Amino acid sequence: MKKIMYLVLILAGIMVLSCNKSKPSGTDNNPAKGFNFSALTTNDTLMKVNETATITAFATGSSLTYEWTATFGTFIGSGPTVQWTVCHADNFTITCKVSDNQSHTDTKSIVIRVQN
Amino acid sequence: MYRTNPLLTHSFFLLILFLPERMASQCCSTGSPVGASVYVGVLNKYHLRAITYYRYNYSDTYYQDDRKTTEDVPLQYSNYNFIGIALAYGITRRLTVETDAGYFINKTQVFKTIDYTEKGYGLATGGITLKYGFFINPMKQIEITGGAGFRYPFSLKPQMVDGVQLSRDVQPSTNAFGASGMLFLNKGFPSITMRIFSINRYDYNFTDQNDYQYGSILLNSLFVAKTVLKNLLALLQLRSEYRTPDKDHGEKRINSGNYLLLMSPQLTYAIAGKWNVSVLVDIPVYKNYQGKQLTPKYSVAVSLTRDFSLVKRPKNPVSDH
Repeated sequence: MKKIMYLVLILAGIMVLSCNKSKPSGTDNNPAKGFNFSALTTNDTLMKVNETATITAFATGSSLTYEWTATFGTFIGSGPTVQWTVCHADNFTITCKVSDNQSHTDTKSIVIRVQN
Repeated sequence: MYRTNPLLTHSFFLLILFLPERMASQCCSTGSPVGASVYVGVLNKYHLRAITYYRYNYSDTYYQDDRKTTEDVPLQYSNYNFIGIALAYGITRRLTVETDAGYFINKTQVFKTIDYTEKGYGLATGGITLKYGFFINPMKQIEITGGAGFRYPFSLKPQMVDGVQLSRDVQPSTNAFGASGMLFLNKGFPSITMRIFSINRYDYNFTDQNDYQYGSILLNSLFVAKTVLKNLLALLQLRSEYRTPDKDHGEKRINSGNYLLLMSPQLTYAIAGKWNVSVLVDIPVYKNYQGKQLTPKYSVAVSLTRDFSLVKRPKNPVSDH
């Protein structure tokens, strides 16, 4: 009986340790301490064709890198602040992915409406 | 065995330079242009054909329907420099396989409205095609060849530079797979050292990872080739290009789709009976573009071609079949 109890205790201990280990240290939805992608903003969510919008990613962390993507249009510049322009009217989604040197990442998007 | 004027045969090499993968323009610049393909009739059995080529394209004129427009246009001009290679191999007398790949040294667009130049570069979409000679009559110099193949991207993701995704207009690849079909018709007139042939090709693009689909392209070309001097061949091509609009998440994109008619004179010179050098220029003669698009103004290209026979020759040939 004692052996069974010891075995149960050991298994319970392993489970507790496993649970602690599986806690994410930093993912898209669980920013780690020091890493925080707080906001993605633009100076204009409504613009005309061929105008430029300035878009800024506000993030903190160490050695941050920024990846900017959009289905259409051209980015000017790189890093936390970029400009973006497009040559036809529509609603466009601009996405920024921020990463640090601890493999923490977070992604945010904004929609810009472009009119003729 | 099928004997023809080698220069006339070699003239087909240049055809690769006329067959665009995405010649149609985007609203900001010309799309990815070159779909390299040997794209001619079948080769002799165990023969290998290698082609390298270079192409330059320049665009600075916007069109809306069939009229020029300067209203609210974003670009001053765009251009690209492209190098490519194509290999074809005759598996049997009727069956030829070919493959091609290319690299954009640059795809550049210079903005008019802002002080900015955007530049992309990299591998274009590659291709593999199987061609079958349905009807080959060497005596009458008639050939009917059909082919089918697919195109493949070297990357499924769009190109990023310094953490920024380049615009679709300067991406070197479609980032999507494609399928193609072709029909080649040829009739030679050896008595007057002349040949007339036609190439007809259809390209279908599948959607990419972002659910964007480039339009399908139908190309129809008619060529007249004539030997003008010893080792010098002159060709004139009239090519029609029709492209359906692109689709973004199933919705037709406004500034895409076009009809383009081009005239392409070219010269091919045979060196030492082994090498062929060709030059050509593409000149649009009619343009009709949906929405507002930057259209090609001209293209120039140079190619270098060589055929290799991989047939083992007997030491003491008795006859030449």
